[in-house]
Amino acid sequence: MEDRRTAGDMVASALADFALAEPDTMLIVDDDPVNRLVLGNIFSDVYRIEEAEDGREGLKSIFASPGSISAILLDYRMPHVDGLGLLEQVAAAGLLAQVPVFLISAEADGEVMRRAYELGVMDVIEKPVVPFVVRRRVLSVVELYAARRRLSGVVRDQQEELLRRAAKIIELNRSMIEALAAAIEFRDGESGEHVRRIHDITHTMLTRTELGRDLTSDEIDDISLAAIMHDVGKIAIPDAILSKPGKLTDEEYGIMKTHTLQGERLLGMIPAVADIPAFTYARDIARHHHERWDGRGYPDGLAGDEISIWAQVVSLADVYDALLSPRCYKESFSRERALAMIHEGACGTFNPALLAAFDHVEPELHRLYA
Amino acid sequence: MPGVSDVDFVAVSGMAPPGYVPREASRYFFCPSRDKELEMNRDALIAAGMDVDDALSRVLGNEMLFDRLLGLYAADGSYAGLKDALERGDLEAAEASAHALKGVSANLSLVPVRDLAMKILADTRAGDLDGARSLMPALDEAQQAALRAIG
Repeated sequence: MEDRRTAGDMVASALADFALAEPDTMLIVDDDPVNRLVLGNIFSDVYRIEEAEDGREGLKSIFASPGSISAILLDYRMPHVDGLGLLEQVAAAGLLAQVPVFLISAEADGEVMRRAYELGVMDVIEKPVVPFVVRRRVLSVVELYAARRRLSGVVRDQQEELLRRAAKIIELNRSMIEALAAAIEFRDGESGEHVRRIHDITHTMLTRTELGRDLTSDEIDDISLAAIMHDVGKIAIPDAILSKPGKLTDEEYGIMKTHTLQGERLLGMIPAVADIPAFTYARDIARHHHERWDGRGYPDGLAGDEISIWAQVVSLADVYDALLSPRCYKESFSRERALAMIHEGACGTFNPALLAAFDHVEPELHRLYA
Repeated sequence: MPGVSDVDFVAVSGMAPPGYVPREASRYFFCPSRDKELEMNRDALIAAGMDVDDALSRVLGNEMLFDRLLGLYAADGSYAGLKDALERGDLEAAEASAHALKGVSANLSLVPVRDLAMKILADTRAGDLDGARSLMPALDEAQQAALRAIG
């Protein structure tokens, strides 16, 4: 048999063709011309008939254009390559799932039949044939194959449609969360870009350093999305405090600090999203993004590893962004000054491991402010 | 002839108009090697032991195809091959020829030839050369009768 390497490639591309065109040819492989004529006559109204006088010629026809063959009628006894020999090669090429093969044989030999079924023939039909029998048995199987093709095509199309819609829904959700967070931040003079930067900084810190080693990429995506909502509690803080250009009094500061609790409360008030992972992270982050490594943060005074890693990351991201951006109560600081302040603890103490990781990716983070 | 395609004309009359070139699809309806009127010697075939109705049903009543198959039977070499193999004492070749002869005669429901071929086939598979040879005269007679009826 000719070069089988290329046969596999031809089969692969022909199988792709199956999706496009319905096969229309019946291949009859038999060394007896009378048999070929009799069988061809039975199906000539339904198929284009192709003939081969032995297994070798049959294999040539099959591999020349496997996508066009609807069914193969196969004799057993033939010179050069017999029916089982052809069957073995067709099975090895993985074609039997797409093309039904029928053994038309005078041999009542149980061993031949067993081997044929083992290799994957759909049916063994006795010779001399009774036309209505062979026609019914062949056509019902071919119809089965055609229906399976149609069904898998339909299933594939529906799957693609479902995936498209799911992606769309996820995208919409993200946009809505971003819009909500941006709208709330807008009150104290922040832009939507602050929200996006917090997301990007959090994502980078978790994917590009050891900090995220225990998290899956889906979890990191959820955390980054949750980070956006860390300050939604500010919606409960009066304008006068939120936009005050000067230093806050103790009382005002006390009220400001409640934005953590308010944020957690607000995020817990939406029953529909209560069990979505992003919102679970968001409640934690909203409440704890002002905790500090040395326990002097608020509202709970958590210390060290009591603070979840994602709350730690978001609190650092928030500080970094606040330092590098102009605010109503300060101008933007230079990069050097910001880094110095963070490391010296001017904005609260941080986990040393967190700071080390931060230093590692900070050049990349700074690009967000270019 | 307006309104009648070449194939229809041929299929109905069994005659080819001069210059007719058969199209691929018409191979089951027209035999290009025969240029005389289709004639089926039905009675002679029955007398030679052929179950003509059974044979015709196998070709879905297509008399032209049936005629062609008769011609192919007459030209088939299995009988001669069997005779030669038994004369030489070659059981393996005889088995192959007997099997082939069984097939071609069965396709045309030519019962006497088929039955004798089956018996000879069994004998060759059992290694019984004498038994096979003893059946040859009867097979010869049946085969000649068939060939005469086919004409």
